[in-house]
Amino acid sequence: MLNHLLSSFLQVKGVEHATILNGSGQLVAGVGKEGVVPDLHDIIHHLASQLQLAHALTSQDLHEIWYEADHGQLIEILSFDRIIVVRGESKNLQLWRNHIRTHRRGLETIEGIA
Amino acid sequence: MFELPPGSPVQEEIDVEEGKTQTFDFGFITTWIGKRKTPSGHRLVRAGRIVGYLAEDVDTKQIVGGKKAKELLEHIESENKSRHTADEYSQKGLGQVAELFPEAFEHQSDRQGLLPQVSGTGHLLSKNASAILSALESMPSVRGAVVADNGVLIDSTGQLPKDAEQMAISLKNMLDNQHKSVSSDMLTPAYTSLRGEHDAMMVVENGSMLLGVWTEATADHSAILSRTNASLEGDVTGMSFSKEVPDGFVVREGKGGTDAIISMLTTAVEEQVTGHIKAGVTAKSISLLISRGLPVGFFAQAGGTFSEVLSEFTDAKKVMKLHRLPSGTLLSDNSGNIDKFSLDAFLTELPTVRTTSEARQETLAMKLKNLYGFEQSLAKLRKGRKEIEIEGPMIPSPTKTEVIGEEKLAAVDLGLQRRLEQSESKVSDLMHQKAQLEASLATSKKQKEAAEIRARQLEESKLSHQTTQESAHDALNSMQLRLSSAQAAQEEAEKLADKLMSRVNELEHQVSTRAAELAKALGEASSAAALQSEIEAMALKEADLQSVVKSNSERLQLIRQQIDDEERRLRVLNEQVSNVRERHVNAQAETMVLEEKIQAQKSELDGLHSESKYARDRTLDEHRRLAEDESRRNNIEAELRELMNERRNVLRELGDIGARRGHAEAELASLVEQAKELAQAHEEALEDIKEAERLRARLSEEPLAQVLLDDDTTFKGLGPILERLEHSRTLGYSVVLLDRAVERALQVIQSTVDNVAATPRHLLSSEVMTMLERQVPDTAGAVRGLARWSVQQRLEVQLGETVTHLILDLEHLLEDYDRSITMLRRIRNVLEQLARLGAPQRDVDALLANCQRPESLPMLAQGTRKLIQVALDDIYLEADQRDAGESIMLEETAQVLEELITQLDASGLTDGVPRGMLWEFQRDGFLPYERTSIPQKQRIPVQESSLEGMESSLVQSEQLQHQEDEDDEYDEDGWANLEAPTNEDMNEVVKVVSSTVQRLDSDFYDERAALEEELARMDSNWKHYSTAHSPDEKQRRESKALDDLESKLADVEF
Repeated sequence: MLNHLLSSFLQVKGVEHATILNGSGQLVAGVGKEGVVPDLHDIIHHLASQLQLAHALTSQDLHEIWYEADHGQLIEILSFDRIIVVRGESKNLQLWRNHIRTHRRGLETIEGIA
Repeated sequence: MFELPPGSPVQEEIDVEEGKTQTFDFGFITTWIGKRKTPSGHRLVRAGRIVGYLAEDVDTKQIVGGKKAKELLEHIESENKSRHTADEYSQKGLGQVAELFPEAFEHQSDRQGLLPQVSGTGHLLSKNASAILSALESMPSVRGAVVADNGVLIDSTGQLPKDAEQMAISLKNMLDNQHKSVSSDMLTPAYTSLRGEHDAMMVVENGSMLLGVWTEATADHSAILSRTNASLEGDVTGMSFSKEVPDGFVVREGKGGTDAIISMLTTAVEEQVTGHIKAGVTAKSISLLISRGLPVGFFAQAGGTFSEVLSEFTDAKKVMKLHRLPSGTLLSDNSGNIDKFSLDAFLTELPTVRTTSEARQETLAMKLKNLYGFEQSLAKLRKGRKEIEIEGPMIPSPTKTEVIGEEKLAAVDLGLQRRLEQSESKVSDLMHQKAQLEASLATSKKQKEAAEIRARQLEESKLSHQTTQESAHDALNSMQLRLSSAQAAQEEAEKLADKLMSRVNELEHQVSTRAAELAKALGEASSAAALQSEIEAMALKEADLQSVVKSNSERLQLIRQQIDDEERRLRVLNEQVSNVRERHVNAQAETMVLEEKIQAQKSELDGLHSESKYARDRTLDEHRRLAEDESRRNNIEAELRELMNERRNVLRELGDIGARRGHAEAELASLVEQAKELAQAHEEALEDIKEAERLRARLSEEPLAQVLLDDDTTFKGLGPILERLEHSRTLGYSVVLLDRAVERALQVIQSTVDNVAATPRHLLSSEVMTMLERQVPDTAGAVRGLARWSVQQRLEVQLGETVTHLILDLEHLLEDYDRSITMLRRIRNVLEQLARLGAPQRDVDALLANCQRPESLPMLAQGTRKLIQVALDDIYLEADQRDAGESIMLEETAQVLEELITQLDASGLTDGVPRGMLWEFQRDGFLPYERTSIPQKQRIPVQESSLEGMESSLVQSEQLQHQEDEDDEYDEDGWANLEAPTNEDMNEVVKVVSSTVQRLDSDFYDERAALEEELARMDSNWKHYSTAHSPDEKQRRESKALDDLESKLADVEF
């Protein structure tokens, strides 16, 4: 069911891969174009470094990380145990963000395959 | 006349005068005439102004609205004694009532703008941006559209006047400026339209999201919006559910029951929850659907009537949860699946479903009324609205003009109405200010009057003070005068006193001179008496003068004191006066100041009083808002706490799951190991099975196995033997010997089979056979056939022969067994007779105990023979001591006993070495067949345990004393010291025995029979010998020795 929901992200312009991780950095669900496998280690490394930075600089919680380069990557921390990572060619991360917001409830609550 | 839905009662006094602003913003005022229970009319209040009227004509009972109702109400109130009550509504509440009674409004513009606009922009912008844009793109009047979040472009479609990103930024800036310029009191518009000559732009904003739509100039923006909303919303009448209502965010959770339901409904109303209250967790759960806090229906998977569902729903045992569904969810009356649900029915039945106590029902009904009283009566009113006919135009045309006089007045439109409202509100503000100013003026006037009064009072007090001062001055002056006069008198008195003193002194001097002269004169004695009297008179005079002087001096003193006192008093008075003056001045000043302060504060207080009335509503609103905020905050905190608890539970569950995972992994590992072991065992089993298959295949090829399987005729002969063996077991006698015999037979057969079976293997090994099979199957077959034939032959001949012989041996053994049983029975009878004859009971009992054991027959026979012999000896010994009768009787007895001894001797059992196959088997454990056919070296060794089990020993042998005594004379092998024989027959017997002891004869049975005959003959001879001579100890011993010898001879095998 979660994969079905994630597959709707592939309909959004520019999205190549949508992944959901849990709070421990483990893969919960992931959908992507054939042959595209995101580097989870890289993602987790970036996320961990950003979290450390956020905690060091401010007492606020980190919610989103935007990467706008040759490839776009949007990491949104939905809850303490749900992190969604969307990657693609497009740089219109706002559109991806809107899509995440629209389906936030489902992304937060639907359980992945154990 | 109907009653309007109740609101919050207004406590202040109601004044329905024209133009009067009410103390509440939205609500209604009801007019009651006399003591009637039904109202006569209602006035609807909006923004503190009476804008609508409903009245009932007493005569025609017709309900009228608008201006007519206003006139009617005024007429009724003027003619009858009336009272007014007022209830306050929210704006939305008044809007809902206004929807039902549009005829009540004098001006239709007063009816508009009460209810919040339901344009659905909030729902729209919560949808997916791409979906919104695709829906807009399909409309012909839409040229292009853009969706942005906080000015950052999300997506765009179609033609836009400029770059999409730029446009998003521009629109955001425009809206920001609009917000800044517009006051916060204005309602947030659903959308903003900018119309130009050639095109138009519609901007919809909701929070941080904005939607910009570029359309044709004449496009209907509201229609575009509603169409887009409809196309994306789907069924706007409300969600319906097929299986169960989906769970949402749990706002509250708790046990069920009516109180819990009411509490959750209260929370739902406060929070404006759209969701459901779910009772139960199984498939029988029931959900009460709630739309913005208002129950709209029941959903029960199991179905049922309304009453049944309500009864189930209020079960206290069920767990109840308040779920909030995602925003945008619409629930309506058709979302539930239970018919006949209505708010009125729900509110009526809920208090009564679980309790019969009237007090409790009333309490619950009151709570529900406080919660939903307005909605309930509004719903009733809505239902009954069709039956109410109100005279008055439904929606009068706004362009209708009124002719007043000769001038045509312009129609009252919305703008004029708004201006009228503004001006009226301004008027009310000004009136208020005027009231304030008037109040302040009145206070000032009062202050002025009070000041004047005070001034007058001060004047009067000043005058009085002045008079007192003058009087004090007068008193002072008079005192001063008195003082001066007193001083003058004092001086005069002093002068006088001085004068008098001087006079006195002179007089005294004169007196003294006179006296001196007198004395001189006395010398002349003419008028001594006259002189004495003159002296006495002068003395008296002097005394009087002195007293006068004294009194005057006293007076003077007094006067001086008085003067002093007066002076002192005067000084004191002066001081007092000055003090009083000072105090007076100070008091005056202070009084002035205080009074000014008091007046100022009084005026302030009055101003505050007048302002407090006006500001009370605002504070109440603030309180209400604060309470709502507080409750919202509490709810949020509760939700947060619940979320934290949930988080804690989830973390705990995660920990448990982790632990369980560990356990599961350990279990899995053990299961994997078990599975591996099982697989291994399975493989081994498969291999075993294959091996067994191979063996079976081999066995099927093995000649021995085939023979054994095919040919069982030789073993058929064992059948009768087995039957007899079974029968012998039932006789009740010990079958140890037979058992051992059968065991031995089986051993022999087994060894024979082994021997036969081993032979082909020794001839050809399995490897050679396998190789032959692979390479030359024909030869292998031939070899196998030959081996089979060979084995078959061996089996048929050797095994059959062996089995046959064994069967015969077993039969012989069985016969001997039967004979031994017969002998045991006879010995038992004998022993019983002996017991009757007086033999030692102990010995007899000991021997009787062995009468069930054939294996002990030899020993038993010996023992019995001894007893018989003893008995006979006793009889013979005492023969001469008896009389004839007794002798005859005893003779018969002796004869019987002698016969018994003869029989025992004839059986050979008393020889010590009984004859017979059974006894031979007992002694050495070999069957007769083995003894005759198998060489000793080839025989299967006999186990000592089986020999011990068969040995001929007596139970209770310790009882037999004489047996032991005699046994002691023999050594282990049974040899005893033997004297030189005296009988030539004995030598011959020995020689015969020695000559024949080593000889083996093939004709075993014939010689055996002959030997038996010879031995029987020898026995009889010996018996004769023994009876011919005196039976003494020595002879008995010799006979014993002979017996032994004979028994040994009987052992000789041929």
